Amino acid sequence: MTAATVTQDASGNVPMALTVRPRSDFVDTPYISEITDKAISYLQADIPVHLRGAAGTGKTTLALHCAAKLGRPVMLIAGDDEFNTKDLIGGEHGYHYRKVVDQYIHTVLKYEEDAVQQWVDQRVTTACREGWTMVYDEFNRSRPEANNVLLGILAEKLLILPAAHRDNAYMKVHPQFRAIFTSNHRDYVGVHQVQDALSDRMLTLDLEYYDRETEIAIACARSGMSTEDACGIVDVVRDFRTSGECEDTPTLRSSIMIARIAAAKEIRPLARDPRFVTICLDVLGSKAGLEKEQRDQRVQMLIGLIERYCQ
Amino acid sequence: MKMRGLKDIPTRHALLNRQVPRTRAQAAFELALLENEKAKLEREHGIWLANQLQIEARLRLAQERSVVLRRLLDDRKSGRKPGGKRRGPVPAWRSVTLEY
Repeated sequence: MTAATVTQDASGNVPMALTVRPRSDFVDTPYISEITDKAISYLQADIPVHLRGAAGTGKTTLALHCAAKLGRPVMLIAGDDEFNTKDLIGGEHGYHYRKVVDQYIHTVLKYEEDAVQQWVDQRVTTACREGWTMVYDEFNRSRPEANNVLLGILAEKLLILPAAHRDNAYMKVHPQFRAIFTSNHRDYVGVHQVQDALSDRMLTLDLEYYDRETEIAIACARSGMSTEDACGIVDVVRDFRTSGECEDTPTLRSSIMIARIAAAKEIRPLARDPRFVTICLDVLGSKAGLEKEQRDQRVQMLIGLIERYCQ
Repeated sequence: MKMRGLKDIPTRHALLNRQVPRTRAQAAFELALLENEKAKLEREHGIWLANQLQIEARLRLAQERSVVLRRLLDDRKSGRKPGGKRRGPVPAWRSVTLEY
């Protein structure tokens, strides 16, 4: 990291950035490369990118991967329903007291005391000022009114600060500032609808579940299991997902969980091993639903899939 | 010369006549006065010099202390550990590494 001028906020705090890098076992298949290259090219053209997809489609990982490739420090923000504008751009926190007692001439006493509120920058302001890459994960979990401040940043490249910020009412966004957003549009709990004005200012890339080869490669990398063994697990999960016989959709995370547990316990993924079947049912059974009769049917279907792919 | 009254204002006549004492006694008297005054002035000069040296020493101490404190304040403001050795360029921000 090269030296640069320290731009501290009014309270004198040095900002903190994330340096993101891929793990040594990061899987980069042609599918992932294709999406990454597309997103990078849009970001380099100064177009904010929005990665949209269901849970387990790798939105956050891809966002961080793109941010790493841009080579700038990263400011990671996680969407939160409790957020308001202050949490994104900053506000006044605490006081700076100043007291002057001057008795240079012993017969004359000069006494001054004043208290001034301190402005403290938050993450969006820091990223805009320093030209970092902002990764706003699950931004639609924040209320739309909290995200209104992003409209000026993305379009006019201007951050409009509230009246409480006495030094500058407006701040020009650094030319190297880039924004990557992620959201899960299929979740029905804890998400808000994205306002048209914001989605109009970004380019949305819809992500689907990975292809079979990518899922197998990731499951192997994250569990240490061999490709041959991981194939069966991934096929069971993929078939269960596409069957539609599940209340909650099993994702790549389920494959990774099963593979990791089996690898840690040194259990080969074989249908004739009851320990392996138990692991699969523990991980995937909860996705079969709560109603007993329906659940039992689905569990039987699951056992059938295990017998079919894990011989 | 400290003015005490009209007597201290020398006239032209007095100035002319004062240059050379008329008698030996007058000269000796004036010499004695001058010797006393010289001794007094030398004592005063010595005290003045000692004061000056003392004040210079105190000034030097105050200057050294203020330099140390200023460096301490600058270090704290920039988030550096005071007294730490600088190795290479100073980072502009704190960083946390995230592997994904």
